[in-house]
Amino acid sequence: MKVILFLQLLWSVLSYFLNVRYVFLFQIFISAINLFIGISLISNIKNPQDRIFELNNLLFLDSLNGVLLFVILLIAFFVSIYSIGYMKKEMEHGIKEKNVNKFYFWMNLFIFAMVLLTVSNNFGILWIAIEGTTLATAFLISYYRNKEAVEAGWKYIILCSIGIALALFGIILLYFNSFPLLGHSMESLNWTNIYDIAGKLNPHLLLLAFIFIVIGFGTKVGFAPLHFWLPDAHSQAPTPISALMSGVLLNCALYSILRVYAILNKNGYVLDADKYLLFFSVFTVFISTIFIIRQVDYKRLLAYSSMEHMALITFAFSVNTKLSIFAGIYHLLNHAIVKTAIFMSVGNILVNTHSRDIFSTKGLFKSMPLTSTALILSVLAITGTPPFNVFYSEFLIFLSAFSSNFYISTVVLIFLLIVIFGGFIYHFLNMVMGDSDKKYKENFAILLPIYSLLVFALVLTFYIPENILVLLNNIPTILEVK
Amino acid sequence: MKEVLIGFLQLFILLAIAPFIKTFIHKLKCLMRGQKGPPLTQAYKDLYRLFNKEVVLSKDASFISRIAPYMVFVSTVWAATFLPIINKHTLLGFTGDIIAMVYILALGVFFIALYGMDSGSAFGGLGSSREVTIAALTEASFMLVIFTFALQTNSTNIGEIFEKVHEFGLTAVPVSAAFALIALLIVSLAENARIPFDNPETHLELTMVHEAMILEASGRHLALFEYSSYLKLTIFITLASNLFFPIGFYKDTSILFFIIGILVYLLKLILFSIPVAIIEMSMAKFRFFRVPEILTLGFILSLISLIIYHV
Amino acid sequence: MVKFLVEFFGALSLFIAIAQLSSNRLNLSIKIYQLQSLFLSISILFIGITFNEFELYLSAFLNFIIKTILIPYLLFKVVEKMRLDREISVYIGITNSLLISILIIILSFYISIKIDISGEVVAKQIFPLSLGIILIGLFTMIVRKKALSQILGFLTMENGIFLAGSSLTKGMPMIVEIGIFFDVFVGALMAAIFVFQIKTTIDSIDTSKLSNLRE
Repeated sequence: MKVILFLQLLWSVLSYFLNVRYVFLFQIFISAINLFIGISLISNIKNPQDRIFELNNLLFLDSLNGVLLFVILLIAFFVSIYSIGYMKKEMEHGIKEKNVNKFYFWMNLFIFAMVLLTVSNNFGILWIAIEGTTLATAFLISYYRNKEAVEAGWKYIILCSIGIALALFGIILLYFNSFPLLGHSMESLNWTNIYDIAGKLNPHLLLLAFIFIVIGFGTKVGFAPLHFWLPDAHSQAPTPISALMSGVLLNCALYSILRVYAILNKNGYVLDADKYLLFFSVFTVFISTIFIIRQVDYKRLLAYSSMEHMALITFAFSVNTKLSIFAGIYHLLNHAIVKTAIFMSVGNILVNTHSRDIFSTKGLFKSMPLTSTALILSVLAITGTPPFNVFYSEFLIFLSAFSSNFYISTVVLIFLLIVIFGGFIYHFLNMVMGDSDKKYKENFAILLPIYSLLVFALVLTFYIPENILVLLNNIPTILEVK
Repeated sequence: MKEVLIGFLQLFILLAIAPFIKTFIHKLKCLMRGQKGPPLTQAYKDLYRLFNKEVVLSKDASFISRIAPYMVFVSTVWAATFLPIINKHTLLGFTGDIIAMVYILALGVFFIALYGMDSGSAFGGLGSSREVTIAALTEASFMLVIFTFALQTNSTNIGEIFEKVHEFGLTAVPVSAAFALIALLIVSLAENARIPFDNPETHLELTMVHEAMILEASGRHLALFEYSSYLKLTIFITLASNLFFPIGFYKDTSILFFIIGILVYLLKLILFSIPVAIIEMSMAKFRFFRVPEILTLGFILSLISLIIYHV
Repeated sequence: MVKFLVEFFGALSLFIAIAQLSSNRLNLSIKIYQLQSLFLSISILFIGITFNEFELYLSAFLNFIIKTILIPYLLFKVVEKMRLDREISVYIGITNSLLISILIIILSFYISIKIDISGEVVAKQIFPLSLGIILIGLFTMIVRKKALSQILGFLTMENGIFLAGSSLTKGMPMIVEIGIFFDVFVGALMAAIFVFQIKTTIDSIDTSKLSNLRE
């Protein structure tokens, strides 16, 4: 793990100084190495109790963050390939080389912060890393320096800072809860240590800490009343960053909540914690449905869709059975892959047409056939059409919810998902159909990652790689589901 | 008999020290500005000079103008008779408590406001309306601060409140005390027409509050007004110093304790005058529209101190 | 006695948070923030004296350096460099927001009654006080329109969290503490840069004018 972290940090510094051509080359190389190391690391984990520690117990890897680490490195790898084609296009349209360097600097720092967040065992370091992701992406969101971009950046930095500050208070409460038992040291902030003594913690204080952490990190996940930064940030950031944020960053924030949720589950005396998650998930899907239907900006539409999927995952965790947790994590993996693909395809449209308006974009089948085929395929995938993997995991989530008597919320969610499906099909068919006399050149470096992700998504429906399946099966035990 | 004597002595101390406190604050401000400032006996000289001058009354003035200065002075002195400074035996302590004291002081405000309007000058009316606005806004927060201490000590008798505060100290309820202290500071500044609510040193039409009301007064009447305002300031500082600096309030009535008590009292007065001077030095007067906001702040702080005491 | 001082200065910090709501000038707001950080440092220093922990002394010192000197200096520079309009603009008037703040304080005391705080705590009242500071900081961010005031509200929240952290738990572990300080400082720096970007793009720092991104 420290190798990945070190490489990533070193590379982010280097990418600021190197010539852009080398940066393009090495970006793929470094992210491929990281992916390789990551996969070899997680294949060591077989049992739920397996934990790999590094750096004096500060870093650790178990099944839960193993999956997340895999997702981060995978998405980062594909985004790295994609960003080359994307940035080359942007340079043709007059972005300076220095700014491209800056882009890679912040992006690599962003990935570094996310990896650190994932593998850190210590809640303090986790907090620092998640604040780091905020700071690293703030300038990426306002990358184009126009009025809208600056507004989005400001909203992002302010709202997320508030959220993260509240989460820090939650972490302090957690520490306050644990340090009489573990002593005053770095160790008593370690997740593994708190988890081991979870049964002895004070449940009232634990619940208060959980509420603060849900609200705090929930801001970053995009739970409904706290989501205002999310569509702005996703629509204004350069597309590779949108893909990273939506596919990975939101998952990272959700992961931080899950770690605390695991402690609560193990403690066993905290009632109603899952009710908060249930409320947030249903409300978020409701809000995102409304905004998806009446959306005119396709990147914003996708941002709302990310909120919806995060909420579905959260719903799976609030159901809290073995099957639902499995389905939730599986959905997290599926969503990350498909959402990245769809963001990449719209990014290719945006970089050519320079318009984010759904209704002024017409006839994409004529002007860029390959991209729009990918777009339609990924739209079908993200809305949960068989045979894509998202369908399978959503089906599992609802099945598990039904079997544990969550009838009303399940029916409501299914209804909302159907509405969302309608909204998606309506908006995107509008874009690809029709007549157009323009013809855009389609870049191979852009198309390759999209299609490979789609193939991967299709494969995941029928076959989950053995290493990943082991991790997925372990996670319900880690979360102490009854 | 001894108790009556003690009561007289305390009243005498208050009356004697009041002009000194006013001059002391003035002097301190001058020193901080780098000026030489008046001698510390200046207020006594002023009063002596004014008492010897004849009164000039407007021909439109009614009997209000004739009685108001005396009413103001008497009500302030009356309030002072309730206020113990070093021993709980006061002259009229058995007839009223701290609530009575607050409202007897308000009686003085009532008459001074009437006096401002009586002579029919434009400034007087203006000053009166402002003064009444401020007084109405401060009243609530002042009472809440007092209730905080009354609840804490289970008594509204000032002597007993002081005695119990000195017994327990403030360490039992530091949070409550911090808020009450600041609330009382704001209330005192507003009630005594100090900066940032009013400037006691200028006669600028647009800004003056207290001075506007007594613009018409002269000679003996002016002296009475001035003297009662010195006295009121001293009453507030005494109240604050005895509540928030609980040293030097004795049950014992021997001569030795008296002398120590008086010395400590003087020190406390000087100590509590310094912040007033510093605030007046470092702040500008607020616009009048801003005054309600600051007084709301004072009200809220006093309310918080009351709530926190109960938690 | 030390407990008295800890709670007393904690209470003064809450007072300052409320006073922040009543300020009507940017410069005054920054000065108020400076004073609050000073009180916070003193409070942490006294907590340090109680437990005699080196980390708390260090924390108090860092607090003093970063929050009382560096960040206010930075913000004053921003105000001066950009020739900002010094008036503060609000969504809810000062008097009303002060009245709402009392509800916030009641809420925070109510919450702290509900959870019984046991264990080795230097001062029990600090918990509701810091919760009050956090919530009032949040409220300040909501009612103020100007970007700089919002930053100040955020910093106020951060102060509340620090007060809670050092009084409830003898301070977080050293590495975490330093990391948090670093993050706060960098966050303030970046927010200041954003203020600069906002000023150059819309020629004002009134965030209510940032309304292009609507549904």
